[in-house]
Amino acid sequence: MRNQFGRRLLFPTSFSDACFRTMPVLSEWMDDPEARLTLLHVYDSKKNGRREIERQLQSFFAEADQYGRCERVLLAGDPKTQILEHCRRHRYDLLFLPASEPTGFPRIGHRSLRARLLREGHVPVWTNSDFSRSGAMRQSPKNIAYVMTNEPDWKEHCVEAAAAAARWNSVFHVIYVFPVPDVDDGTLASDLFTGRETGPLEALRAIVSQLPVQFRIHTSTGHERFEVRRLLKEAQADLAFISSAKAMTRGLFGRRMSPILNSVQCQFVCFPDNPRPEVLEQPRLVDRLALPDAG
Amino acid sequence: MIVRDHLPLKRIWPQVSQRLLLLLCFDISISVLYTFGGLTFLAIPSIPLAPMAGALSIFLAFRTNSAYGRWWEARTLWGGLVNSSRTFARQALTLIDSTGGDRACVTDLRNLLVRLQISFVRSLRCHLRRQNPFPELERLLPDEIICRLRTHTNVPSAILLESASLLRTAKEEGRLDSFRWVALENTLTELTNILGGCERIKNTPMPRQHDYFPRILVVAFCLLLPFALVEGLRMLTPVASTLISFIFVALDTVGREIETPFDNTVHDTPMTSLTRTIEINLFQQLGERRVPAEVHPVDGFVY
Repeated sequence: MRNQFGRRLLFPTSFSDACFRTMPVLSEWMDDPEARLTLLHVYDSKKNGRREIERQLQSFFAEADQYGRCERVLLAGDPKTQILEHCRRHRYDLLFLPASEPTGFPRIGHRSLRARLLREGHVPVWTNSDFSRSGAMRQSPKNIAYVMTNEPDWKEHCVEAAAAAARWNSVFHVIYVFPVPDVDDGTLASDLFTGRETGPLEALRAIVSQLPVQFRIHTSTGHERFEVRRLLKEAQADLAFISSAKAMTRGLFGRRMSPILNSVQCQFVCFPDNPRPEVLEQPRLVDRLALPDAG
Repeated sequence: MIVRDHLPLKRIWPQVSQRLLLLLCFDISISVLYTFGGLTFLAIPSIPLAPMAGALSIFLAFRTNSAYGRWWEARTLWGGLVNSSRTFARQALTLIDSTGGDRACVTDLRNLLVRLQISFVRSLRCHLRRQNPFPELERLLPDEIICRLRTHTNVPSAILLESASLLRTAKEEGRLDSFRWVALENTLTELTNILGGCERIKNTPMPRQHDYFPRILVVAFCLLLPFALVEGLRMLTPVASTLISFIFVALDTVGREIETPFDNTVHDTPMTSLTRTIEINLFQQLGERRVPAEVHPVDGFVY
């Protein structure tokens, strides 16, 4: 059972080293007959000539031409505006935004493009930690984690993560950090320990029973930032699915990516807070599964 | 591979910035303590540092040479791959007889052998970059071969096996005599040797002693340098010391970067570009009208 998720891929590239290191990841996601890839480059028309940039775009990730399902789009203007506009005009399932290269200087006043695109693009974002110089996925992921939340759409996110684990024949890890000190406040904690029939644990079991995946739960109590990091390391996660609430944090100069992402050598798929309406309208795998009505 | 004339400082700076900034802070504190704190015992004679710098330079040059040796061997192997691929395609197109059999069937066999050779080159590149080769092979090879290849962990080696099996069948059907079959088999052996050579470079790191000791010695030298300079230069010590340290730190960094020629960095052997060159040559030998476009440098780098 395979969802539409992760089939229409958009890779906005600046031709940086980080973009080149993302190619093995893209080839992994493109190993699906229905996957489509768009390589997008936004250039400054005042600084560069279109012809030269077009030539570079054609040569960037040259092997993607062999996929037969790859198109290259060149736009002029401000990168953030143009990428958002392009996302608005076309439907994408996943945006590939690797962490930018370190500059060697403190980046005071830096505003994260990844965070802004995740918040305003309404499209799930693939990203990696900025210290992982070899940030590319070296092979298909062996361990896929889902960082569970109490948000209303957690089941949908969990199904996507489980479907990805089934696709790559990976072990599926569910990670949950109990809130402190309100451990037993009617959330997942009580359900996990009392085994209530309609609780999230029951829904988790229903999800994994309908997908061919090995399933493990990792729980902990404590400071979320440190515990999520610890549990991701414990699960040896290669790829983690995480909600934008956990993937982003509020900084001095606006939203930025959470330190959780930079503390683990792992790739992340971050779900947006408010996906686009047409994405919600398309048939979803979560609707096709028989799941108990759990909160 | 870097093809631009100059290497911008912004590319080197992130690699060396942390070490240089720490050294600068250290140098400043030594200068301040000597000049304003009156700690004159901090100054040491500069004479012992001179032979140390000489020995360190020899050590670093040796290390950089070893790293360059790996890089150049990788490039030579890929140069050999270009030649062997052209040879194999030429042999497949000219040595297999079409007499006494179905002409269309022989043409298909020749085409398949050349396509397998292109697949070998593509999959070798992916194998070395730990990349999934199958999206690139799907349009080139029949589904049954793709299914068989998916069961192998070493896809390039499995492709050579497919080619060898086809040649054996051709020999059994009388389309190849023993001499021609041996000639083709020799070319396949060359390709296997290239695959093995690339894997050797990929899987064998530089001896750790060659990596560890230069790094430690560079740090030790850079830490001792301000003590030797401070008596003569006083508050100018941080400037001179940081500049000299930069030379040694940059040499150390360059050596480390080129020691892994198949690691998805700008210092890689330009495998994508070389693969495309082979594809263009082989498709043209097959008589294809539409051949892929050449790969040009992107921002001064060829991948």
